[in-house]
Amino acid sequence: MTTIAPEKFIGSSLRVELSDNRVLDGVLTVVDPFGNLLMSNVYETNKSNRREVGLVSVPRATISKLYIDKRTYQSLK
Amino acid sequence: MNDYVDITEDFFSSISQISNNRVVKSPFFDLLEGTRAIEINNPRLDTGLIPNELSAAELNFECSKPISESELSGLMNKLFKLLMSWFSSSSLPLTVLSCRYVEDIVHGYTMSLDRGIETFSLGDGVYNRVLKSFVVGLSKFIGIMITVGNTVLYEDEDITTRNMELDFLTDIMVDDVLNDLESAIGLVKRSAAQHKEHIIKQLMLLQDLNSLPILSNLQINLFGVPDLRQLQSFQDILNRGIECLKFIADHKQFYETQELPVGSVSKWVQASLGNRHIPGDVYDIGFDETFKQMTNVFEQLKQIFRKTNYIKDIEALDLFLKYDIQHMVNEYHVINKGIFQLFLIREDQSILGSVYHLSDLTLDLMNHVNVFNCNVSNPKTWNLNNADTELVMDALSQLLKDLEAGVYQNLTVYANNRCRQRQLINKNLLVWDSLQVQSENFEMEIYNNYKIGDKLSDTDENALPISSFIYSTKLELMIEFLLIGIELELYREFEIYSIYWYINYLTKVYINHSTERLLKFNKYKISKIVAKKKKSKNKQELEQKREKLTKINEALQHKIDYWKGFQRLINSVCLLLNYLQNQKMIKFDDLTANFITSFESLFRLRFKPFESIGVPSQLTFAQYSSSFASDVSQDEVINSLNMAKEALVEYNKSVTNDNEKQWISSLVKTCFSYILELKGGKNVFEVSPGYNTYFPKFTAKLPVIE
Amino acid sequence: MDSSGSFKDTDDYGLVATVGNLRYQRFNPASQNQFRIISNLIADHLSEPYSIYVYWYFLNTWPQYCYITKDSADTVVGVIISKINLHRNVRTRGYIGMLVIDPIYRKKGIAKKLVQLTIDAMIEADHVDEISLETEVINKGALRLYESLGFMRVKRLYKYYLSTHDAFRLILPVSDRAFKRIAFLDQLPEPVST
Repeated sequence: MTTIAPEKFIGSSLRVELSDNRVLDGVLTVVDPFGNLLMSNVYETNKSNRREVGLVSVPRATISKLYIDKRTYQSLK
Repeated sequence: MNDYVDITEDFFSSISQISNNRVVKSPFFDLLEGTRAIEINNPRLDTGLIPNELSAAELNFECSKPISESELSGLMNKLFKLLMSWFSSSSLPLTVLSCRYVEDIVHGYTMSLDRGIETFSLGDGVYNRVLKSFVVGLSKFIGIMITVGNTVLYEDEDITTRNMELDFLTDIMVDDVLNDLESAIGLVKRSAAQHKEHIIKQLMLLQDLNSLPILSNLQINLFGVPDLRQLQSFQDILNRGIECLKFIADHKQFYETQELPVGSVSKWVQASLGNRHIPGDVYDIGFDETFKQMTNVFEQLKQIFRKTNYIKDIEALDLFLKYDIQHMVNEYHVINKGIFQLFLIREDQSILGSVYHLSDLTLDLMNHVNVFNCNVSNPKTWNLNNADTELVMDALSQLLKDLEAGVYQNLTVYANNRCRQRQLINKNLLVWDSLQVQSENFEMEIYNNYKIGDKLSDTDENALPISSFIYSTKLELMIEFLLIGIELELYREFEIYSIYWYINYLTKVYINHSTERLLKFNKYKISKIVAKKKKSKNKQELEQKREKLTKINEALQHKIDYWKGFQRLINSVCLLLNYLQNQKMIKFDDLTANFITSFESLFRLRFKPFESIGVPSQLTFAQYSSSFASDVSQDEVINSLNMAKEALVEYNKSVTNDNEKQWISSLVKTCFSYILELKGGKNVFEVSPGYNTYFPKFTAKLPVIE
Repeated sequence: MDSSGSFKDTDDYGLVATVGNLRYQRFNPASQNQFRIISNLIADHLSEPYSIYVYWYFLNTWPQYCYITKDSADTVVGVIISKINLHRNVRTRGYIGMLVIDPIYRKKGIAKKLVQLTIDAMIEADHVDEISLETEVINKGALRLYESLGFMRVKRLYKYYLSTHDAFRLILPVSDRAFKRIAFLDQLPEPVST
């Protein structure tokens, strides 16, 4: 598998599953060398409650899974 | 999840390519933005963690569940406390919105399309229905105050209006709210409640709160006979509010022991609604503070409203704004600061809702200084052909329009917090300085080209009346700008002398200008009228003019008398500090010896706001350095203070405004205290709060002179 | 970010001064360990809550204006973080963002030394016209420190910190541009980002 350059992911809509089962949907804006994300226009889903939380720093340690939609994924490769 | 691809591994393995320890970002994103982000799992930044700490009662709270009489009263009491806590530097989510009933009503209103007052509900129980009316009334009041805040207050300083994107009943009419509360009162009366009066007082108080913003629409008959009916009816509202407040405060024991439905006040809202902000605990300033502050709101408005009804002339308006508003502003509740600003100057630029507008005020301000009965301001006396008249008129109108803008800027200063007042004055200095340049050009030009203008005396040059008025206003702003800095504790020991020394200079210039350009000019105009009267048929009109000018000069003289007393005090402080330096109690230069910058640089930075101003000429550091006298005696300082004291005591005899009287008294006390301090203080130089905010206490013990 | 963990760092990059057993170093922009230590030290001792992207903002943009102090056991005991910006397009303004000293190392002149290193670097490299910062009016320690160097209170900011306490804006004037009002200064070119 060839590695994708990290720059390629910037600007993509990502879905982040957190270790406490919350889900964040937003645009990846910055990533740091530790793997901490900065996402904008974020919506948080906690059980059935979905709300807007805006600009969010997501520490690497809180992330359990990262998803991207299929189409965007194809275009990254 | 069909459309999604798991990229966890792809992504994090790509991160390992990042070299140099730098973030990867879009070129269009400014990292400064990122500093405002909240952070997942950081307990101080993540409201998403709040649900974990909530109880089952908070998580499963139902607004429509029937409440008891006790809970109704307890909730209303809590909501008053949360409301006043919001005004105490907190935010809506940490205060009123933490109440589930408020969230429910406001959120429901924001989401619904049918927005009539009859659509609100918090359940069918009789106490639920009363609570509904209360919460609607409270939310409306909050909505009004958000609008007031956005219009005339400073966000995060005076008030925090961020509202979680909720609409606080914008389209609901205040009258509907008041009527709905009235029905709720009826409902209570007909109910089986045990403590009807206690509940009704709370409902009435909320009605009265909602009536306060009416003030900003009332129309004052400025400088005329007060509208006593209007005065009485607004006073009645305030008095009823004060009565309710007294009743509630007297029954603290009762209100504070009523129940709250479990889970009804909670951090829930911070996690349930869209929220870009950081978490915080529910904030409550407590019963005593709440009702003390609310009583202040009513009492202060009562005072302010009564006083505005009896402002008899433009001098009284000036004193009212200065002593009853500007100097008192620290004591005014933010509700009143906002409402007053809207009350003072309206959207149509009328002053206090009267027929008197900003343009009238501007002309009056000028006339009451020196512009009355001048050639320049009176086109009938111009003697020009039509085309030239039009030309000069246009230029004059433009100048007056710009002047109006300057006067408007000054009017926005009074009700602001003191820090803002200083910043606004700093801005206005530029405005008034350029007005002066513009006006001088105008007055010189029409004098040179059309011979329009007034002489200062038979032998003197052009009086430049409009420019002289502007200069006088600008000097007042310059002096006030420096003085507020003393109150805000901006000046440290090493520079305190330089500040008084500079104020001393400005006040002397001001007094000289007032005497030599304003007073003198009016006297000259009077003498011309008297001379003309002998030969004129129109004696009555001339006599009226003479009388008006005489009155203007009396008022001017009164003002100059104040400034003379004030300047003597300022001068005494300079002498005092000079003397302390001579006695080696303090050495201003030494205090800056270890700085990595020079005293001179700091001096220039301090007086930067005056740097661009042409007149009066800026004082230099060299002038400062040579300003110390080597032979100031203790007697000289004491004599000077005594003279200042006497002048101020004398002036105060003719003062009628209560707050001005108090202000002058505090200056007199200052003189006394400085004299006492000189006769026996401590062996260190200290600056601490004194009797007047512009004159701190200087502690220093002086060697006994044998 | 993990707030536990060691404050030890053996990297000897950019040593600028040694005073007694304390060493003052420039922040090493390539060091993840130093970045981690600095953000933890600040998070532990400052009252305002910051996300990790606050640190990235400062340390990625102006790594040259971050200094650290280490004791003889290689423990980082002090840090200063600053930035440069063009104030209203007319003045180059240095801004001291954060200054933290481990409480057991306070009153040893570390803070003053860190501020001085920063000021010198700002004047030397960016020819700043002035240096500014804000501090709470009740923070007597900070006021004493900065004012002993010659910083002056130019503004009082009403309820500045988490909307409760007033703050002072302090300024240290450096060039003549510091003495002119904004409206009367010519525009400066945008600085080249480092």
